[in-house]
Amino acid sequence: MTIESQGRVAAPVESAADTVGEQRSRFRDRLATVPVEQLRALSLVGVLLVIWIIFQILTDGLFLSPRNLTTLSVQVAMTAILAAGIVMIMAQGYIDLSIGSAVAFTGMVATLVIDPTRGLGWTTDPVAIIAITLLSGLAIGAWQGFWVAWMRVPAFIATLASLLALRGAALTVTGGSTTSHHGTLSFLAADFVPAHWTALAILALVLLFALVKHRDWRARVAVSKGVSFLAHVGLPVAVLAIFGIGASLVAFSYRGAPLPVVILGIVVAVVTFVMSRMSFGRRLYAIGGNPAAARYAGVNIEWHCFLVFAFMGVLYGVAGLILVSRIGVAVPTAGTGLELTVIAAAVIGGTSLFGGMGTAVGAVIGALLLESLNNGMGLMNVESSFQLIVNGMVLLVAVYFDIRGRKRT
Amino acid sequence: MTAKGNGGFSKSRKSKTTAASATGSTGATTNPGAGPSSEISRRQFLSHSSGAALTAGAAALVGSQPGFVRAAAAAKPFRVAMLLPSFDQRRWKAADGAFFLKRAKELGMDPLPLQSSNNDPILQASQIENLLNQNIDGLVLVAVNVDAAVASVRKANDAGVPVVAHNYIIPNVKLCGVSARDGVELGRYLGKILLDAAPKGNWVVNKGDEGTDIARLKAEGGLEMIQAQIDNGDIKIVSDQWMRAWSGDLSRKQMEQALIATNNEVAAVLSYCDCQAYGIIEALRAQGLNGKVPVTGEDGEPEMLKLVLQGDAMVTAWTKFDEMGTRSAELIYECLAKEPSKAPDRVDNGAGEVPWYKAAIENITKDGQGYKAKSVAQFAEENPWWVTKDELGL
Repeated sequence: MTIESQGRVAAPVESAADTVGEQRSRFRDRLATVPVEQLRALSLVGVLLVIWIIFQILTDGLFLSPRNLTTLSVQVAMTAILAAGIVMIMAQGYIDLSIGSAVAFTGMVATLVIDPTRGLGWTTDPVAIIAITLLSGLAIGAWQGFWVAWMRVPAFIATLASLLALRGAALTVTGGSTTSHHGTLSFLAADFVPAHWTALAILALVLLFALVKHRDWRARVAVSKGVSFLAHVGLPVAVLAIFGIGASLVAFSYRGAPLPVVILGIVVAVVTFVMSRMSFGRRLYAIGGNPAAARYAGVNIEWHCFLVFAFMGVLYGVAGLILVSRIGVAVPTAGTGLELTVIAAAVIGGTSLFGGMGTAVGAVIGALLLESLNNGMGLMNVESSFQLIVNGMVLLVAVYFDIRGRKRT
Repeated sequence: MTAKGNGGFSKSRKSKTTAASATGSTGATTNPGAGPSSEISRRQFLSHSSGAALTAGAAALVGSQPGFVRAAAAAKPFRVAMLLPSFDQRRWKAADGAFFLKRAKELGMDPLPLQSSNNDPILQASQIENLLNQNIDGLVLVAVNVDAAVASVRKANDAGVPVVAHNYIIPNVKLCGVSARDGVELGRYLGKILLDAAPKGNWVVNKGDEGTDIARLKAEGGLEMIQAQIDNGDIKIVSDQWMRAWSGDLSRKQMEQALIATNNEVAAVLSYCDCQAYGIIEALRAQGLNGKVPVTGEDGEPEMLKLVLQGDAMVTAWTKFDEMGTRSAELIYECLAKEPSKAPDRVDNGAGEVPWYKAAIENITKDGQGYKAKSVAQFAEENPWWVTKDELGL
């Protein structure tokens, strides 16, 4: 079978399995026209459900309680936002190691803007603080993008340099002190969007998704036969609808949708739109798949690289704001090792370390999988060192299956 | 601020017995969590390796004596250096380092600028070599990793440069003084004051980074205080976790899970770091429980003191880092000037008795109530270099 990395524009497949039996081969053909990444996302959802059910049993029904699911959604939001962002970087074959330091730095900026004793005490207006924080993130991202794109420094090194330098800068600026936002930003982690608005937004999302899928399917049917409606439209829409109904129920029976989760939803929607609907996003995969070919095809690699790093920078700011609102203060050593969790989430979600593959939705599910493990084990008070072992093993197994799956295709 | 470096043994026990015999018993107190087994094995390993290390060290010690003479005979002021593990925490520069420099100058010594080892034992080893090449007379060393520091201290001794161990005791090698705190005692202070506030019910234990000795020592002391109540069922530990990288975000997650698992029935939170207590208090706040559940912390950070004043946190423990710095300067001076030490205690680090200054610990509460506590106002008055009353709105 030959499938382009991005499946959606894949040509109909001439399968060697045709000889095996008509019935089976027809099914396989139809399945083969389904984007690989969609299949992977679906199987990942399956794994996630299994884990959730296991925890539901082990915790005597606590795990799937509305309160815990709401808590879980906030716990995962920061990692998931960053994971969705790093997909755009990794799709091009780059990497970002600066995440932990950059998030701690932007969080520190947010508190320094407010704090009159240890910081600048400029303003206590949340809008201004958020704007300044996002700009500081943008500046970091643009700086890294500049070095990677035009100075030809490998992303690994350019972002490693930031990992060190930004941590050092945070420590120098604060002298190692903890700085506080004095409750100014608490609303970011504490506020909820009312349940009825949440449900309406989810409904709109599902309808939009169904519309888009249906249009895709019609376009495919026009060029080739045997494109299954069920596999292309029915199943994905059904999964999203079930998820949406579940999320709405949770929102109605607890407090609504937490603000960080709403932000996550917006980020995922933006990244997904750019990556799958805009030629800019499609070119990112092309760059990751074969940079030389992309260049010959007239893609301005430098500009794409720069913009994506700059966008990631804004996400540092978003994550930094969520982090400081969640713990009330900015600690200069916060977020240590966060980049590895984010990369792990993206890779579990099907993003290739070598570029050319990955979706924001997959990365978010990957993050949710890792966080679900921590959340469930936390409910059971499993020892923290054991949690690390489980996380490590899940990463290993997930990537193994990923590689195996890729070889087959 | 919690020391994140690797090192520091159970000093109170060490002082009574030699390192070799103490190694087996130090971790013996029961401690649920992965602590005890790994701790014992590490220490047993140490006790085995110490024999060889001592023999090797003995030869080196003989050679170290002339250096003292050289330093004392010089008319120039003693050149001394202090090597800190990192600038990650405010205490190192603002407290330990600043007061060391101040006292060293008062004593007529010539201290070099403070250096940080970025929590990297390998970097620290080469920094010590560089300092020795600069012909320093004495070294005050905060070991990033006490075991890794042994070789460097031996090298310094070979070069005739006496070493004062600051914050952590470096084992099985000749030191000329120790200025350190007792991590286990620190844990006891927090365990005791919290026990008095919440003698019964569900407790959450929020420990530091398992990879550091100081986290394990504090946890050991805290547990010691409440072991009887755990055994007779008055206290039930509903969540007991180590926090990677002393993370406040992880701590918030631990607290959220504990509150869900107990349906908000938590009586007390024993946290060993201000940096983690912040996350816990925010988790309590989300359930409207802040101020209703006593939370501990350690380091006396200004932001934590504000939370203590607001009633969201009950206590933060404080070690007199300033005095630790001052005493280290005095210890190194006594070594160089060949004066008998005025340090009140002695400790055996496995290579003989060493003058030991044990840093004082105190609890800080809103109004000074509780086990060995003083009020925030009094604390700020006594330590204006750390935090002012203005800053706390007092």
